[in-house]
Amino acid sequence: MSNETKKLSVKPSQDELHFLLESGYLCRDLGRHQEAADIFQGAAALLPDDPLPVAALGGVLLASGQADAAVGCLEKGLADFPGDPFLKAHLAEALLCRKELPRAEELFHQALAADPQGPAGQMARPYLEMIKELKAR
Amino acid sequence: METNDPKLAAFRVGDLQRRKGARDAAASPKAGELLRSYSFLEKLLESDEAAVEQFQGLCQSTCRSLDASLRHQEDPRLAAMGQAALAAYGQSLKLFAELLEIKYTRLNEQAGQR
Repeated sequence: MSNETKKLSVKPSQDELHFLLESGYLCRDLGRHQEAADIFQGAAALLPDDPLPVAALGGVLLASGQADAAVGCLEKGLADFPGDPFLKAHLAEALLCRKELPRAEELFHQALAADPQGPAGQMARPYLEMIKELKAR
Repeated sequence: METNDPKLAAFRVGDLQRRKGARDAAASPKAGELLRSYSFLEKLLESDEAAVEQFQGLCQSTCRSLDASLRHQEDPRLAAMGQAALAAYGQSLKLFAELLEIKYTRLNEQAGQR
């Protein structure tokens, strides 16, 4: 996020960061979306130079049915971390839920091109296949 | 296809994951099953009590530092970030306490069966 001059003085250990992020993902997967959102917001505050918590927060907002809030969160994330492929893939997913197919597809392609073997590419690939199938119908 | 394409009408987030999951099992995931892919939490749950208490103490120490820094924080944005961080620890430690309870319940059940 754009916290270059805004950083907490308290620095958690790597173990604590793993603990927080895995707890957030577990809450998300258990459908405890508000708790997951709280955790990822806190992780974003503790990791102001890392786009991962913002992408995760966007994913939770989307999973809880708040597509507009997810798009807003991820658009802001992309403004703070321009070109980040993981954020692009998450934003594309949110746009797909809003049925904004052309931009979603473009962002998935960008995410895949920038990170073909990484998490962004892994996320984008099945969506692109699905979009291809939809177009072929 | 156009924006708002009707072919996407039924699409919801998680559709892809649900399709994959449907091949494996019909039941909804339980916390214990999900932990297979949560290496740090799983390792922590498998640790002995002393190691768990040590980690919980580390988290509590960080929370105390965050709390102390908030008391003197005049910047509203940093204050909000600190509050968010504290809330994250609170929710995570609460979840971990639930997981520990599940672990000890299972251990007691297993001990009772012997």
